[in-house]
Amino acid sequence: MGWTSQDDLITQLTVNGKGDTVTMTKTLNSAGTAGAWTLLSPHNGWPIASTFAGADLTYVPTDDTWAQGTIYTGGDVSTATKHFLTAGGCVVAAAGAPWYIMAIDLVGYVPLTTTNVSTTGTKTVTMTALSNTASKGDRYANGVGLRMFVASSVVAMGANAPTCIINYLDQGGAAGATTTFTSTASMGVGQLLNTGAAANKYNPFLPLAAGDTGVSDIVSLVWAGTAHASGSVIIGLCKPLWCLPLPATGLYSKMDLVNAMPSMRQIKDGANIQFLLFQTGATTTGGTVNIDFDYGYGG
Amino acid sequence: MALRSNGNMARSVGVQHFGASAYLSAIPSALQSNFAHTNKIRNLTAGEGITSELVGIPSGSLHPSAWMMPQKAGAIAARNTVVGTGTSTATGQSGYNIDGTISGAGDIPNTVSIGLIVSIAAALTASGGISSAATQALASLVADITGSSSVTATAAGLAELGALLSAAGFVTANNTALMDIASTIRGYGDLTPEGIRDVVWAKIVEAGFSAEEIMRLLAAHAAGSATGLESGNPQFTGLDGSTLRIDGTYAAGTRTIDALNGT
Repeated sequence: MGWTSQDDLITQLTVNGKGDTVTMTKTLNSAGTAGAWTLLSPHNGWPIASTFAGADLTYVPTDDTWAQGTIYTGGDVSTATKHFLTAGGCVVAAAGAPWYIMAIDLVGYVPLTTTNVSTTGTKTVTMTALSNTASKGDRYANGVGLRMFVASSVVAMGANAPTCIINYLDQGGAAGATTTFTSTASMGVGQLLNTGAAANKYNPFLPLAAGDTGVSDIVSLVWAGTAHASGSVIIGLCKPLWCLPLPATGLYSKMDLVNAMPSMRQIKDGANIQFLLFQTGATTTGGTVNIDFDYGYGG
Repeated sequence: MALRSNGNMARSVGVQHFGASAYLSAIPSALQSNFAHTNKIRNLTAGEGITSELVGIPSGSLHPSAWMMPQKAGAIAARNTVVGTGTSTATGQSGYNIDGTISGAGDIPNTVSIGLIVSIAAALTASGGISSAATQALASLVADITGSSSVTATAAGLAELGALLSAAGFVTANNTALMDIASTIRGYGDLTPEGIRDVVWAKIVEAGFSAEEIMRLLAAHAAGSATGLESGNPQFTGLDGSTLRIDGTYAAGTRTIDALNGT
């Protein structure tokens, strides 16, 4: 619990200064895909464009010290807890409306480049399963609540649309869980391959097997059919936090998260806050996305 | 043609739109709806930030003063209350009765002044020392003073002092003009029979011999067994019958002492 009452919330913010405002802005590197989602972190702006460094097929945990474009939200506050208070956003683009903005906590990613993308077959991932420790990498114990997506990371995708299968361990460590989608050819940087308006697409996260409530380990990625001609991707592992509708270009939307349902979603210590953008139409290249949010903590 | 909400729809769930762009057939920032937000403010406790269902706005308020009724009854709020942690220094005088317990891990310093109390019943317990405290003009003082260190105090003008002083250290006191003192003083100090006995007999009388040692030597000479009295090598044994107390020689009218043992 962050606060004991709204009186306490106001006191912590106004008297003790336990809160702040965060802003970010991104300019889309390429035209979006209608009905698909885009991870904003590899796009230019502030924070800096992510390049998703790391050895291929090796899981990279991320937190609020990630050097590739995380947003600082005041650092660790334990034993208090930190929460969102408001969220605002605006997209200015000639096409693409309406949009949604979704905030996520990017817990980690697995990079795949060159032949790990341009060839079919099983790509085995090296990852230590998430568990229930005080480590920031385990900030969602045993991966409960975490979801996966596959996004073009640094190099835009080439031709062809293979079938992609992700094998993972669920929140209890049980093996054999699999999720499958059909990729999309020629998606731009940041766009989620598993999203779109066609069949076998899932917006914005991969579905989990029946009964699963999270992901504790990414085991492998399998490309089947005809591989992408080129491109680089990440398998993202994240916790969805909130969603904000942006109905029209230039229209600034503000959401009261203190009273929204559910209210005041927690920002875990070490959270790497990133954003996904859904576009109804193909958002214009060079379109700008501005997002802000307020946070606070008590204790 | 279907009815459109003219921009108000999202606002009622906590989202507001600003800007000169049409949304659902209208510019939403120009359309203000339901300023009180009575539907959504009840979501305040429906999340991770404030989880107590007792919370109302303002806290502890009910109808008709509450802006938002709590989900459940049970909260209590206090207004205009000052809560703080600090220290207090006080002088109590002309009181009638004081009954209390004072406990502390530190000292009771000489800034404490208690005067003109008719009756005081108190237990003073401290792991430190009680120094330079002045207790004056008390009609009655009933107290347990317990300390692991020293107690240094001046008690004057007491009508009655009933006290139990227990200390592992020393008690240094100056009691004057007392009508009645009932107390138990425990300690192996100067004024006990045992202490007086030990000091007297330990007095060094001459040449490093204490009064006790000299008494043993005299007893041996006067009443102890002796050998060598005819051979010029006299030796006197103590009253215990075994310890050689005086060992000397005698020749040509001269007595020489070889050894004395008074212990």
